[in-house]
Amino acid sequence: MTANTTINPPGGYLCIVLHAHLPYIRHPEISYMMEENWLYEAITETYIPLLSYFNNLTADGIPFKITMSLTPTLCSMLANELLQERYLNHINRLIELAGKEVRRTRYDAVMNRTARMYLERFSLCKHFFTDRYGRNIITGFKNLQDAGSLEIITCAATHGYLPNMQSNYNAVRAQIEVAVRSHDKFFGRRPKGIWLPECGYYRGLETILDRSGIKYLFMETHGLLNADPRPPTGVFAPVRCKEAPVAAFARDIECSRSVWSADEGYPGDPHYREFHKDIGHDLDMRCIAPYIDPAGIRINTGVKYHRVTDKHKPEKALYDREKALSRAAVHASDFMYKRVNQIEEIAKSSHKPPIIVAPYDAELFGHWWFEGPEWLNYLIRKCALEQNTFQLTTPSEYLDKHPASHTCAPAFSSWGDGGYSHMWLNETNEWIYPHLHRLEDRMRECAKEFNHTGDKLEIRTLNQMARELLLAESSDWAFIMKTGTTVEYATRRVKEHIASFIRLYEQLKERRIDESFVSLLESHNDIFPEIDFRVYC
Amino acid sequence: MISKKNRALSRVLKNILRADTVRENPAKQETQAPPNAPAYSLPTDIPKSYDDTYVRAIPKDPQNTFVYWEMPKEVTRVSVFPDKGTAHVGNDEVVRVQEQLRHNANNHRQQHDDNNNQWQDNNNLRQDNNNQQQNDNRRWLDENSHWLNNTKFWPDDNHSQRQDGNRYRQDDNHWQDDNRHRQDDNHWQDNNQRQDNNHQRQNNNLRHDDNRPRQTDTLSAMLDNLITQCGRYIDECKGHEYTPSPSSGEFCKAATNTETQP
Repeated sequence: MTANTTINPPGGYLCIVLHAHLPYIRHPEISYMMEENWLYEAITETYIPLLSYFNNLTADGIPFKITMSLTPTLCSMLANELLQERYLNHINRLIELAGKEVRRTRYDAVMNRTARMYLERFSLCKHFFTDRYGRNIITGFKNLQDAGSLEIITCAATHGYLPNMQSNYNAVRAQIEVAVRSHDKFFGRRPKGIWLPECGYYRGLETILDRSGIKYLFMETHGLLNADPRPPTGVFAPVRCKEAPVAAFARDIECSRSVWSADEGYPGDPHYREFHKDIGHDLDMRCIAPYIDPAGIRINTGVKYHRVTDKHKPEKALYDREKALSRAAVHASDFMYKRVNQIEEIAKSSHKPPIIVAPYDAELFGHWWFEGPEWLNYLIRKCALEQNTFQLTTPSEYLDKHPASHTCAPAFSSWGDGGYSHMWLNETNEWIYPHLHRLEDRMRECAKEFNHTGDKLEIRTLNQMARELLLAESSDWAFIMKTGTTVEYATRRVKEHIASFIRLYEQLKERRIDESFVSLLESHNDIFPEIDFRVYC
Repeated sequence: MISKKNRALSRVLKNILRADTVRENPAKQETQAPPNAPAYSLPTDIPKSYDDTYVRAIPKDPQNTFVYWEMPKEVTRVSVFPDKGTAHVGNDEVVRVQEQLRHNANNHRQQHDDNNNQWQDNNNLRQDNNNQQQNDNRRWLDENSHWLNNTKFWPDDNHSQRQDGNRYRQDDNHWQDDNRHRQDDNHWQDNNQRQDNNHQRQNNNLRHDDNRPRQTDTLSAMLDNLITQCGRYIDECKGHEYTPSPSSGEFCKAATNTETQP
């Protein structure tokens, strides 16, 4: 069977969106910081496997269209030399650990197979990382973009939750414009679309997006269902936002449920790998000590031997990779046929081919759901070879063929728990906002006051103030405070950025800038090296 | 002889490899912090107060708006509400304000109530819009250590409905009853006109007694601005309700639990 490159006309479209984001975490001042591992784990388990599968698809002549948002913070970390070097150390340690595991499990055939799989994967990751991409995996994404398979979009500069900033136009504007410029730097073109952080939308946001050249955005389902007026096509066609020519796509609830749902979702299958049982926690300390936190704190290493088995029982059976992959193929078929049925049903009452938007956190694939990249690989292949009802597409491609015909004002919404801002504004994190609002006001005030300054130190100070503010605005800190995971770290980060900003502000206003302090901050928080504080004017 | 040569070669190779390792990883030394370097060297001291007057509102969901209010220390040093004397200074500064405003334009009344029970129940900025029996609109502000915490704004006064969770009141009568905020549905839907309406409301309903300190006038103006912000938001959410079905609730939870942070 040949790939369905020419379904004419297709009954509809499926738009898969992967949102890849991590907060900016880089600590040159210490040799080990546990939170930096988030990046290393994501590179090993998500980004490189996805790139690998996408490249294989291209090599096999399978047509596919995927949309990915790569946030500016993530791109900045991926391109950072220090973090690249540290990742290399990390993957070397993993290879060493996997080698030891192959020896340790030599008398257990099932475990030994799994250990060998890890050794092979880690070695491949290192090969991809060093040899293929020259330590900068952004190159891999950019190549796919240039080949037309991947549409890379941006996000707010530091993933700031925009509805909580809406009282300061310039703060929102800076988050968007800095992101667009950063995207341009990394990918050689300005982004056409944006993934709003946490899908947080408020009415009127589109005017700022439009000013930065953004053509479309994604939002949560009820953002469109509660739009004024409610679009007759529901979430199966983009709408044109009322206040600016920006198209809004909303996520389809059925697609989300298949993957996200704790009960119905595919990742809960008994044959899939169990995330929470890791040798970092299970092995004897004498064996695992070199591969966990140097302070002796046990952490996940990424080497796991068990499968989900029964979600409600602590006893876990050993992981069988082959069975897990066969389940991934079954689930890919299930997902595809559900979309076929869904599109056929919707198309009956729609005057133009519907589009189903299926957005997910990229880190779900591989990190949380170990077989996720394989599932996606199977899905893309099956969509190309086993059905003729719909095509994979990107928002730009869809809009070119079917421009948004309905104009409406979408409603305030997010994809957080409850559908609004509760996750990022509650008793655990609301203390942040009075500070952030002041900093935003002061940043604007300084940007206007020093707009025409030619003093290099003043410019450096103002640029660093902008960086500190942007980093403090990251939605991740508020999220962590709410979920209670690494609260101490998140609190410290917010306080550091606020305090640093205030000190810079005071020094600037009093015309007694401490250059060594500016340099210290520049070396610690070196994100957006080309930032121009005038974006706050 | 060969063995000696091999050993010598081996030593040379080892040295070369070692040197290569150092050359290969120029950043390796950067990853090693000095043994006694502090884990953090950046400041973390953030101010408790910015010592100025500041009010902000952030829409939280269709039922609630987070509001905070800060005032300068000099204001808290003045007995803002002399009749009941509720301004306290010192480290535990607490200023409590209650404004009860009558709708009857001929009989504006303001009270500064220091009823502790009432305060405990109402650590909120709240609007009681359809309480026609008393025909009063009440606003409470509670500042604790300069920050107004857990502040909520409810567009309706139906407690049971509010406690039910994610339901937004769509009762038209409710809106028509809201004399302060909403005199005319069509009027309300027009942003500019709505602001005019609010402006008028400020003039009509927030008239202060002559003997009140000027700061309170400023405060009232700010509150009005605040209510305008809230009004804009309510307008946006009007008529919509978000009632997550069991399935959407599930995926929201799943999404929450599987965000990017490990």
